[in-house]
Amino acid sequence: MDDRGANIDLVFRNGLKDYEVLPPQEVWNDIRPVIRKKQRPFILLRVAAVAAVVLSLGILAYRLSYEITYGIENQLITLNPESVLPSANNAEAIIPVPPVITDQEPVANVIRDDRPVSPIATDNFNTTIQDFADISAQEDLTENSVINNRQYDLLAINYAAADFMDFDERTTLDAPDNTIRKEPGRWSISALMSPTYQSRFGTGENEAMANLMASEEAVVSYSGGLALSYKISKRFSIQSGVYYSSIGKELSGISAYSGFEDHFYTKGSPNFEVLTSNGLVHTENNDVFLADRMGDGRITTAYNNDVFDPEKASLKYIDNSLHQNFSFLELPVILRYKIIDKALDFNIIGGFSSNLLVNNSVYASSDGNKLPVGKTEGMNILIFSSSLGMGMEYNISSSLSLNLEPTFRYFINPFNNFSGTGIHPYSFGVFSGISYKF
Amino acid sequence: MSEIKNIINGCLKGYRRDQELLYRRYAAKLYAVCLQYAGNDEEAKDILQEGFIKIFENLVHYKHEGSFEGWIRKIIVNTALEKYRSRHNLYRVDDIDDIPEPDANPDNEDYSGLEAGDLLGIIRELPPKYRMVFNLFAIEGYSHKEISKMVNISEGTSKSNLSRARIILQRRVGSYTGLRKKISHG
Repeated sequence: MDDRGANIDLVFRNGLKDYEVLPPQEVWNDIRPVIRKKQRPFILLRVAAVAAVVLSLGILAYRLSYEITYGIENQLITLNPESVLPSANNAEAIIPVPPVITDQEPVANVIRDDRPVSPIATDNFNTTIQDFADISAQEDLTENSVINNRQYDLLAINYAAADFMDFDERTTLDAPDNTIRKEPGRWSISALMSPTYQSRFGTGENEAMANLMASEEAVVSYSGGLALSYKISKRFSIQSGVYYSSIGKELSGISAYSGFEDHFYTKGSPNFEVLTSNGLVHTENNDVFLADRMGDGRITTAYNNDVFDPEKASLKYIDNSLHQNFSFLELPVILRYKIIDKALDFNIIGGFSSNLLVNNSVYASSDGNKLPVGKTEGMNILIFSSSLGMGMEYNISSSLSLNLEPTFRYFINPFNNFSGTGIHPYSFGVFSGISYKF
Repeated sequence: MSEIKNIINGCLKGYRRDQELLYRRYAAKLYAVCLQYAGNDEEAKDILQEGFIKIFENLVHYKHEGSFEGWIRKIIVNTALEKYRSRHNLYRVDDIDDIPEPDANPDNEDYSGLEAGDLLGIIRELPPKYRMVFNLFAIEGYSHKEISKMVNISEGTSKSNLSRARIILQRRVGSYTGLRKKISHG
């Protein structure tokens, strides 16, 4: 029985091994919306996370800028020896103030400091001019807390008894310290770089174009360059420069093979044409064979599935998608308006750019190696774009600052007026970099 | 990078075309598996649908170790098992005596001429309890110990179910081939 049982097992195992039954179309129709729905919250979560991070950074930066500015202002008053310490010449004007420094109320009590104080701090009304001269002689004010406390106290005395000061002394106290808040020059040069995510708005689309767009996925690329800006007024500045930006798409479902050069003479021209939403891709590499795995008729060739099988011909498989890449040299004219002018500045940025197409390529990729395939035909050489963004600028010194600029860019004219459609790409990038003012 | 690896990466990025490519590539093979385990076409479609949703959800856990086809087949079989467990109480296991006597001699082991479609039809006529054990043991290669845990039965029951399934299948295959012979000989 065991042998017969094993025999019947083998009959079914071998008989059903490679058996295939095509499922009804409705199964995929039911799967697709479920997986899309499951992905959407993930995408929304990512967008929400990015928005939350940007918002948090903004709030944090604003608070930081407020605190830094406030802190600097306080330090200007308390730590600047020139504005705080009386000179030997005007010490006489301060000494006769009786309400604070008396026998009954030592300095230590006035400043509410319980720490032991030096004899100089506990001196009474008999404090002499020589005492102040000694304090003035000490250079490092921040390291000597007792002396700092004494200065603070003296400052209080000075304000309380402002009438005792002469005009020059008050001017010294109230005037901003030009040595710290030095006015920077009107010009600045910046180096900026950003990862860029590209997508597009379409007009005049038909169903075929919608299908094409569905098979294409935007890829994250990079932009960067140098910018020169000129400060027109306190809040307005104008900026221009040269940027290099690269945007691209992945054409999925198109398998690429190499080694076609030995076979293409059998049926005629080795060229393939691939229909994309950006235009017609024309192959220029005779060694490349392309096959549309989705069977959507995107590829026009003399070597269709009926006449040529790349597997049988032992062509080398490269990739199951093509990469369409466009690079531009961008010449922007951008206006900046400073809405917050603190240690960390906030700007609104808007402007226009001329984008000169400098690279138009299509390639297949395998393990980091790029196999050139061809290029997209009929591309517009000059494309105009508009941009809108928000800039954060953290001043690390009077001439150097760090920049962070989330920017949205919209291409005004389409890349390609292919088949009456108008695809208007847009991109989103977060530029970061450094600026030097001069 | 292999073609399937590219497709998997595309699926992980949420590319719709790669998801459809993956489905189209394996759906027919996996639907045949679903038909093997399911009592009817509706149930087979449900298993395929739920199984593929699990495949897409769990692709991120696939480590590219071993056969991808084996990995997705396992998911489909597990989905069929879950379905079976959820409906287990609704099934009535047919008594072995209810099976009609075959027309031909069951000892005749000439199974030639049986096509995959015929085998699938025969396997689907098995009572669910026997079908499940036979599929897991004879087709998937699980041991009785593993099957007892998967189906929540004892090892003895698993062995007994397999034995009964084999008897039924031999009789049905015998009657099928006998009928064919009768037809061919006029």
